[in-house]
Amino acid sequence: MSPIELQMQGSYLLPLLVVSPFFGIALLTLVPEKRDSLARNVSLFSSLLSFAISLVLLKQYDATTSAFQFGFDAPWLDTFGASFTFGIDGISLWLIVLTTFLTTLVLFASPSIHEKKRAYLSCLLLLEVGMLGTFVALDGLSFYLFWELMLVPMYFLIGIWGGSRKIYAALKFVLYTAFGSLLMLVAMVYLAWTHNQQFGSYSFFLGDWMRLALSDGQELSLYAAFALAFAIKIPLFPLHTWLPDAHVEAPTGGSVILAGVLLKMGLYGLIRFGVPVFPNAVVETAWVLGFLGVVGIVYGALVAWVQTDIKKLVAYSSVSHLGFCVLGFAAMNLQGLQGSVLQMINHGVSTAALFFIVGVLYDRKHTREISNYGGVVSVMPKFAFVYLVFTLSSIGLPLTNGFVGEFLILLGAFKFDWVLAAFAVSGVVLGAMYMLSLYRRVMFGPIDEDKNGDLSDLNLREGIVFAPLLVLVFVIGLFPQTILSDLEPASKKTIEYITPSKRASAAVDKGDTTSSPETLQTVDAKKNPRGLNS
Amino acid sequence: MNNLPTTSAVVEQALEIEKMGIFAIPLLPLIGAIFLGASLGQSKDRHWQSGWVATIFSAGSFVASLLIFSELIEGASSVRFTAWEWMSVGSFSVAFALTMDNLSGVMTLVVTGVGSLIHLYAIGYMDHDDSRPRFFCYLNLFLFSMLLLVLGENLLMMFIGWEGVGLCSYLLIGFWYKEMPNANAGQKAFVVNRIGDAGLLLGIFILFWQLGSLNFTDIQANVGLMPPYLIEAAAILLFIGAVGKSAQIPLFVWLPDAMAGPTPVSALIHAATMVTAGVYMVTRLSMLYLSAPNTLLVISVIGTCTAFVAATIALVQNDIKKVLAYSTVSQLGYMFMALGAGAFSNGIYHVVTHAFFKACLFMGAGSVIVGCHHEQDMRKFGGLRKPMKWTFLTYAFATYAIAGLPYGSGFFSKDSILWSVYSNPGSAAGIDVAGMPLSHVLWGFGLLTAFLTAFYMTRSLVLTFFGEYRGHHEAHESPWTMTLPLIILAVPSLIFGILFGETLIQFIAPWGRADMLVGHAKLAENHTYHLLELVSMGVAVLGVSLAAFVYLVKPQIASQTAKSAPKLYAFLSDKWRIDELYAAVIIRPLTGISNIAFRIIDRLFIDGTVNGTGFFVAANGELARRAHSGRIAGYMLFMVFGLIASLLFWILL
Repeated sequence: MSPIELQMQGSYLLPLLVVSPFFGIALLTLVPEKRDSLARNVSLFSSLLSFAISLVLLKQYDATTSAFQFGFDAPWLDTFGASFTFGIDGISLWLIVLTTFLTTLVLFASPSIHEKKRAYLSCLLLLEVGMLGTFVALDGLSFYLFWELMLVPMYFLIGIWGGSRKIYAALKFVLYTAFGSLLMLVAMVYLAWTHNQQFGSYSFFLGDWMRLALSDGQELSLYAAFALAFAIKIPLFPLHTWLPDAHVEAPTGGSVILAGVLLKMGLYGLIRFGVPVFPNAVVETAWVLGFLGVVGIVYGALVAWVQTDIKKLVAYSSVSHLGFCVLGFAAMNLQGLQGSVLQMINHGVSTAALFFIVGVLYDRKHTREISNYGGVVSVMPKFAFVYLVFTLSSIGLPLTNGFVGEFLILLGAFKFDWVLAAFAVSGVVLGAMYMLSLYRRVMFGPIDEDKNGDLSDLNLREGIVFAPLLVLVFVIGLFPQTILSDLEPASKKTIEYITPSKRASAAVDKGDTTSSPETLQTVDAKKNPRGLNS
Repeated sequence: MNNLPTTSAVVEQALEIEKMGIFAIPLLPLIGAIFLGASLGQSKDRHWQSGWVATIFSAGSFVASLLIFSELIEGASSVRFTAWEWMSVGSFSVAFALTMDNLSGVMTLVVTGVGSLIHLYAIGYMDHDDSRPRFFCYLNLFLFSMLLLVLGENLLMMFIGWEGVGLCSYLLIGFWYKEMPNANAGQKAFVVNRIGDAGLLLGIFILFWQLGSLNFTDIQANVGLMPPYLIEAAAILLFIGAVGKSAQIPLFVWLPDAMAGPTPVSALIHAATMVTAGVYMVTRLSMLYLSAPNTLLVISVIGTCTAFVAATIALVQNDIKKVLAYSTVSQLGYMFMALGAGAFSNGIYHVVTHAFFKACLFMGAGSVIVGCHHEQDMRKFGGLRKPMKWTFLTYAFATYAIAGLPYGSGFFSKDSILWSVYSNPGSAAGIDVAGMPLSHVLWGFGLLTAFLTAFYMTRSLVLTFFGEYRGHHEAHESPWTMTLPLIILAVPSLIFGILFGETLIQFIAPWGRADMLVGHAKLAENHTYHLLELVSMGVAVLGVSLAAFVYLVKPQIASQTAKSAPKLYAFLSDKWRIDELYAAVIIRPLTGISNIAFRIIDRLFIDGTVNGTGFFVAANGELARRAHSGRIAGYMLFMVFGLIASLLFWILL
């Protein structure tokens, strides 16, 4: 019995998916300079290819099993037991679809960028490689490789195409996240080394790490190293201050990807590596995450409320929304966890859309100060409608996607700890307060003809960007079950990692280590260390 | 309507009918809204069509409701349909399903019936507005949400409608968004309502956690399985939601501001339908509330206070819509008094009659406002009974009803509430206030409020329609699309109680407490009841005559009274200064905390630490730069140090 089951071995879909953006990058090098629209079309074509592959995955995915699917295994650094082991479950599947979808949208919306066009497009495609790799990797070291790979293009996106304080923001982003992930690397090396101690070979494979016998102290400190890296990425209060700066300075496309996908990496990491490898530590410290999540909900909302810069406001709203996701994760029950993952997708849709919305305003007026707007609805009625829908999705109005996620999270959190849930519910009120107050100040009131009278409504390209996002808001709001039932097996499995381990840790407490089911399984699994089934 | 089930026992022989057609009721207005929304860009000369489109879809929904309702008359206990499984996660699952039973049937008819009339009225009222299509789109969208609220089979379906009507209310209050106060009022309404909704959500969590289902029938049947303290907790949390939506103390502050919206909106949303949602929800969960005696007590007290406080404010308002707004708050207070006494069906009875006469009053006020060229100050009205004959007559009838004058519809419903409060056998009877049972004290305040109601409504009638015209522009009567709905509503305002009151109470009796049924037939022998009936009749007559005397015969009395107690007058016209209180106690501290969080915690403390670390690293980097001297020996030295350090690391860990 291996703790991890890989199905459909020999499928090349996942490696194909991960390297597909390279195809676009290669083509971009052939595009002559100044041929901006050709460059955009090439990159768009490449991202559509990746999107198509992810749709094939969605089609072929088997929602009846909790096993990792589309398994792929290629050696990398054999001596250290590192390999490119790929496989996805329902959780990674939907995050992959989100990634390829948003990347396509961002590339489609790229004409507002004129400077160093090919480099900009290549950065986005490289970023896509990093994100997709992170979502498919089941091997610690390759996970880390892709994780760090995301940093580089993001650094350039902020640092080259960013606003006035771009260098400060880019550096802050990189240093903050690199600091966290270095500790994670150390912990990973330590796990591989422990595997060598216990099983006679180095390994970075997730399934192998799950079999390690770790003392409580080891488990807790290693988990802390992982969790710190993830918490920074989420970002969890009080490690969030890189986010507003990065968002404000990043170009629209960068912000969309940052909010839409990159902020999901931390929680994804917790679900993928944190829970299976350190189940006891996760359970014991769940209240810390839950507490910080709730603090983030309230704190992010309050700080968002007093912002004068539209983009900063939306950035702080992400802190609040991700607080909800963290709370759902910490609840560690089916409603909380599924709600949390669904809310990650929802946040990817609605906050990405909100950053596009800020982009629409910024492209026209080149300012993000709220006070420079007002009465915009008079001249941009279509925009007003679109903006309203995403505002409502963001504050979780029923029948929009935001409600389902938020409700499930709160329901799960209530079972976990009703006091935390009671505080978290205040986010429902505060969310309405800051989002509607932003909408009111930008859209309502008398219009200043001299300043804003000539703003033009959405053009066709912008309309095409918003249309699929609008559809998703309502489709997920009305039929969330299509996603939820894909998430269910993976979520159940994640929770099962924790349920028996509670018993195991109770056994350890009594000083009775040998008879715990975990240890028995460990010995058993030695015969099939890779644990791959065909 | 003579083969209605007359006792609850008949209803309990559940005959459930599956009928897809029930979805037509909310879907028709939704289609209307989508159609109007999609054609927003069309040219201005086709704008007139929008009102008719909306009215037709609304009327269609009324017809559909009648068809489904006829199944109930023919003996079905409920008509239901499940469209699809909305969410299902682990043990939690919620269906996208609608049910019409007696209670929701009555509400549906009121919502679509009165709603259609208000749509028709709005065609005339909004005649010259440039944004008519948008207005009617929102109005239809509101109807859709309200119908989901009423017909939802479970708490979550109701919650969709609950928040949906809040959204439409927000959009319609701020309909004339170019004026910032309107936009502010819309936002205030939404946010205050959301405070209630937060409570509602927590109540939903408790119910699901305890009962594993959010279906109303399951909750009603299984409440007894919950421990009493959780029943109370769930009941009070859900009631917080009702307090927000139905504008009770302490969350009523949004409703008067909501009058910033067009008058048909005030009539439809902020008088006849949406604001009664709280009453409806509590009635839906009557078994939960009957098992929560302390919560019922709280509801009684809050209802009574709201009824009384709002009535005192209404006394001194000069804006005709503000008078009606506070009157609405006050009447909603009455409804909660009934709920608090466990007389749920009496509460719904008042919801129905109030929908008739208050919609009529608001639309009458709207007719006056249009007739006087968008003037709302009653001091600039007067003598309008001649130029605006129909408006006057219907307003007078509706005033008759709300004032509780004998045998108007308001008389019956209000009287049944006062009686249920007086004779409440629940916990209010056991509490002693200065030698009297609390139930009698509450009844006393209810009676006092009835007097105030008769007084301020007559005041508004006299100031508007009697005496000399004090405005500048010539007043004119409104078009037929506006007067016809007034006439249609004035009729049930007068005669609904005497004709159908008994039937209605019996029809929704299963949601009441058996001993609280105040059917007149049962009480025919009860002397106390007759005595109290006479008292409240007398109080209403007294209120009307006093107001008529003061404002018609001796107008100087009013101003002298106001001058004799300037502080009290200012306190009342400043609406008990509750808005100011909230600004000082909640809004300003919250802004302060937020600013501290941003400027001190975020920028100074956290970022300061981070940037400080950055500076420290940079300083070390400077050292490191010096270390990169290019000398191989230096590098070797570092390598050795590094190896020793990592060895130590492995050994120590």
